[in-house]
Parts: sequence; structure tokens; C-alpha cells
Amino acid sequence: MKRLSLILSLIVAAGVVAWTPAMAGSWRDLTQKTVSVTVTVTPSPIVYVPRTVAQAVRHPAPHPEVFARLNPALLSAYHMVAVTQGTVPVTMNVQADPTSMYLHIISNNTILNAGYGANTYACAYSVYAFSPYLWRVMDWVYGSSTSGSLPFPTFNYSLKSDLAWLAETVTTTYAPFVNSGSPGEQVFTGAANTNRTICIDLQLTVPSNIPAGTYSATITYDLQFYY
Amino acid sequence: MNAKRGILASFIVAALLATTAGAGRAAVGSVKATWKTAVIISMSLTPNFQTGYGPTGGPASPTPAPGPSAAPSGGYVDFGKVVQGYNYLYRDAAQVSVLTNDSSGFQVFAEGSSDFQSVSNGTWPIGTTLFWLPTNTSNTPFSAAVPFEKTSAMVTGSGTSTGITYGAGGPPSSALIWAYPSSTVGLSGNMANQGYDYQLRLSGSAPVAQFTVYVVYTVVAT
Repeated sequence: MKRLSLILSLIVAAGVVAWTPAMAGSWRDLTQKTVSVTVTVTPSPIVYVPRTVAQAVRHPAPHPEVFARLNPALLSAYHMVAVTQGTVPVTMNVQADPTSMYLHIISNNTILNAGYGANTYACAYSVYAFSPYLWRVMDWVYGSSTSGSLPFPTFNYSLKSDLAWLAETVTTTYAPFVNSGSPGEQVFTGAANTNRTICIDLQLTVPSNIPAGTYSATITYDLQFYY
Repeated sequence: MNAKRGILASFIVAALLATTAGAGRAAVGSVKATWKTAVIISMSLTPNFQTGYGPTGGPASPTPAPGPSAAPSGGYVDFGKVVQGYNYLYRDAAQVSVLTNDSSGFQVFAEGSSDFQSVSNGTWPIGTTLFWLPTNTSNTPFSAAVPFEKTSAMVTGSGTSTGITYGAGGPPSSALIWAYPSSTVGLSGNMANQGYDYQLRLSGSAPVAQFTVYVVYTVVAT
């Protein structure tokens, strides 16, 4: 009888253990942040000099005696440099983010100058996360879904993103950003009441069919806690 | 008969002589006139240039709205209260209007005269914070946009009369925002117009303060 009771207790205990994780809690969203990355594709160094100013330097204005002779043929269009300016004032009143104590992004280098082929950017930005409970940070390409049509560099599922990430001290290889929307992929995790700041390295592969120009990618980071 | 012929011939000769004498009194000739037409170019800037201007994006609170320094067709591009770590789009931020008789057109460049500056909390980089894109109703706080760079040239003046003095090389190519290929004569008001939205990508580590910067537009005839 005692042995039967023990066996029953073990069965009940095993059942409780098996049942507990599902009932004890689940991953819940705490807050989300985005980071926008600007990609400037430059196929070759730009050598640019505005024609009017540069030519005026190479063709200095005639001496006064030339003007005195009033010979228009000695003047060229290069001497007629026309420039004018104006100003637009811009202002903003920055407010604190009440949720930044849980998740925020520190931008280090989000203007990425890229040539064709593979380009890497160490610690383009850092992600800070904290929660009183067990937590994890997920990411995905902002605005992506399984039926969207986002452009270069992240594209949309089922195309593979040309922008990839590596979380320093957490992952060791570059992975293309998930571009099929929420819930995305896990970036890093943390224990309850601990914070972590992780550098994100980026790798951008520019295919040869992409015209030179400026492009943008925005990544969503989602902090979830387990409760 | 011969006498009649002689009189007729005399009249013809007299008439011919009279015609020849008249031609000899006329002064006929040509003058070669050459000139150079001076290039005329002027530009006007209109902040908040049409109804619907102002910021969108950010969190639900505070509700995005133009700040107190913004005014219709004037004032500041005032993002108002913006929250660290969020993106904003300021619609219809500024319109550039250019008049020129240069048949080769013009180029417009834009740069920040400095980084964002505050009275109480230092500066904040403009190059990773303030971006531009041509006005379009489909623009969002996350649309592709080009950063305004802080100029490396000499800044003159202050406030709304802030200017930039470029050397012989002119403004940097990275500051080019608009290239127009022909004269504007014949357009409505003889001017070409282009509107711009501004995009704010505010880092989570931006200091809490009121920040201001002056964006200087330079138009150069080409």
C-alpha cells in the first residue's frame, strides 16, 4: 500500500512537472523599438566639381583693361557664376521615453556607405534590454510580411534579405534579417532583473543589379518577458 | 519719227539717271552686335508650405503635432514634442522655388549649418537624425530618405540669416537635393517648385532638451 502510494505520488509529481511550463507562464510583449539604417550605394568614388565655380577658377576674370575695351568676346559664360542661399530653421523638443528603461537602441553608425559585394559594419548599433522577469529580444524587418514587397536591402519573404546581423558575444555568424513580419527571430536573452547591452554588427551584400543611390531599412526589436 | 525716238530715248536716260542718283544718296550697311546675357537666378524657401504640414509617427503619446514655432507658410519646421527612440515624418516641411534664365538649369544643395544645438544639453548629430525626401503622400517615418550633413565649410551669420561660404569647389555633391535641367522661364510664375518632407530618426540616447538647427539651401546655376 505504501509502495502504491509512492508510485501514485511520483505519477502526480511527473504530471505536475509536465504540466507546469504550459500553465506557469508565456512570452508577453513588453515594448518594441525600431532602428532605421540608411544605405548609400556608391559604385565608385565621386569626383564632382560644379562647372560654374570650377571653370571660373580655371578661367579667371579678365583684367580691368579688358573690360575697358568692352570686348564681349573676351568674356565667357564661366565668368557668370550665379549663387544664392536661403535658410530653413528646424527645431524639436526631445522627451524622455518612459519605456527606455526596458528597451532602447543606441545608434553608433546607421549611415552605411556601401560598395558592390559584401560590406561589414562593426557595432552599427547597440540594443539595451532589461526586465524584472526572464526576457528575450526578438527582431524582424519593420513592415515585412509574407505577402509584402519591400525593396532592397531587406526585401520581403520569400526573398532573402541582403542585410544580415550578428550579435556580438551571442552569435558567431551573420544571419539575414527575418523579413516575414512578427514574431521574427530571437536575438539574445537575459535572466530576470539583469540587463544586457549587445552590439549588433551588420553585413550588407549589394548585388550588381542595384543602382547607386540611397536606401533604407528599418528593423523592429521586440522585448518579451516570460510570466 | 527719228525725232520722236530721240525724245523717248532722252526720257528713258533721264529716268535712269534719276534712279541712279537716288540710290547713291541712300546709306545701306550692317552693324554686328554681340552681347552676353547675364545669368539671373533667385530662390525662395517656404517652410510649412501647404495645409497638412506637421509631424506624424512616434508613440501615441504625446500626439504628434507642430510645435509653437511653426506657422503656415513660414516659421520653423517645428517637430514639437518628440520621444527618444522614435521616427517621425514632418510633411510639407519646406518648398524650394527657383527662377532662372539659365538654359542649363540649376542645382540646389542643402546642408546643416551645424549639428542640432541646445541651450542646456549640448549638441546632437544632424547627420544621423534629420533626413529629407521629396514630398509625397505615401511617405512614412520609415521611408528611404537622405541625411542632411553638417557642413564643413565656413558658416556666416546667425539665426535665419545663417549662410555658408563655399570655396572654389562649391557645395559637396553629397548635399545635392535637386538638379533642374533648363530655364524656368515660361513656367507658372517663371519658377520651378519642389517640396520636401523631413524625417526625424531620434536615437534612444538623444538628450532631453530643445534642439535647433539651420538648414542652408544653396542654388547654383549650371
